[in-house]
Amino acid sequence: MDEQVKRVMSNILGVPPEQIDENSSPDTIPKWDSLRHMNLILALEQEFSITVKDEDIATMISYPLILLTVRELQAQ
Amino acid sequence: MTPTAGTSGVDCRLARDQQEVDAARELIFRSFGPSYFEIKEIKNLQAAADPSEHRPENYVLALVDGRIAGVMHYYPQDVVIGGVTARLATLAEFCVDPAAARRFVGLRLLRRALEFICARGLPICWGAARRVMDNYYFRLGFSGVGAYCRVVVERSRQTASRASIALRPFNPEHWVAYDQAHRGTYGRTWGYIPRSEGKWRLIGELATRQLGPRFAEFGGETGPAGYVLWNDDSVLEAAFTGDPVDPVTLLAVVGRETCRSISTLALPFDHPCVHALSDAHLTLSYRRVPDAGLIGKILDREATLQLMREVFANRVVAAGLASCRLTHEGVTVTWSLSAGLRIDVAAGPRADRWLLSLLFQGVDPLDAATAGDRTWAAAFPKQYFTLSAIDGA
Repeated sequence: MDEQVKRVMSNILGVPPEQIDENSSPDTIPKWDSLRHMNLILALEQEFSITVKDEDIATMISYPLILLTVRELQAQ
Repeated sequence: MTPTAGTSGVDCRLARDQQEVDAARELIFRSFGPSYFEIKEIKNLQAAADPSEHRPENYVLALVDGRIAGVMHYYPQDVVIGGVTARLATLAEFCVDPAAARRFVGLRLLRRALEFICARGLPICWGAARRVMDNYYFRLGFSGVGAYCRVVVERSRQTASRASIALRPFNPEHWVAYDQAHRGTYGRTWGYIPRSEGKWRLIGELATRQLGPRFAEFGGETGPAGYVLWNDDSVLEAAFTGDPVDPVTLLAVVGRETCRSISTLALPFDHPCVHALSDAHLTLSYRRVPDAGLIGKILDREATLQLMREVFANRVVAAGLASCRLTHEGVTVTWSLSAGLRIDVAAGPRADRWLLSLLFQGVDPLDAATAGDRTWAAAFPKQYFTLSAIDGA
């Protein structure tokens, strides 16, 4: 799943998957703005067949937090 | 877990006083960049036309470290839908200070603003959005309500028109006549917004100072018989106190007046000009404005359904039907006809979009009841004219 999440993030945020790591966040990826963030959420929902709660959208703001949320939603 | 700047430290609340409103408005002006001074002038004229739209409770602020980093300006507005007046929330300006970029201030601000609007008992919010923002808004539950449609009249038909009408500039003393024309022409359309005297004077001021759409009245000895409002490439409004002017003539006259080739009328479906064109069997195309559109979100579904029931009840009586009810179970919207026939018109996420389409696109509920789950384009009577290039229907 880690690689799958990285691939989605790479496609939307325009950075190579190998550059996405535990520290990846809007602070380290300049293109990660709110519009791309919403596209990222939509892409993750499609890729993993999940629905992110509206209140969680604004908290998925780093690679680890995204991974955690996707794992939790897939486990449900 | 890696800490990030994220949304921590973002506090969203309503403006508390005029000083905060002024600071919020300054951020809005700044967000327009090079157009700062022009936008400031226009927005200040707008604010003067209707100060009630600028009360502190209409400004939701996002504060970062105590400083205003984002603003959502909205205001309650009466909208006439199928003869029923509803108080809805119009979303006006929404901006975030570039200095607070990538902290997701806007996302948090918008969600909080919707909570404030809902708490004020406003069942629907709506506003204009750029196409680039589609995913942003749609993921937060907004739907396109597509009230902007364009009627494009072929150039050859315009140039063939030799007819002429005299256009005169805006006259503030004629605002009552303009309002009568506006009400008479648009009052029965769906999503009609009544205008105050202040709004009319604003239209005149913006047109005269060339800060907004151009305006001209036309007509008789005793007073204006109508007016037309246009921008660079499109007629935005055409209203008449009596019989409508042939739209081909209208476009030709405005084109001659401005020395520009204007071929587009942005009109609602049930505008008299559209009927005039359809009677003439002209070829038209309807499409949404390509780079912008209206979006809406239902904040209180029960209140929205109640509004639709009122609209529908009026239409049922007008149509001479005994009864026809709008019900919903869970997320399914159903029309129940007097013959015992039940039609599920929309379910799940589509239900909200359907209701908004009914409210804003002018699809008559009785037509909609028989249209099933067809789109408005399919429900609209094609026999009148050619429908083409319909975006996202």
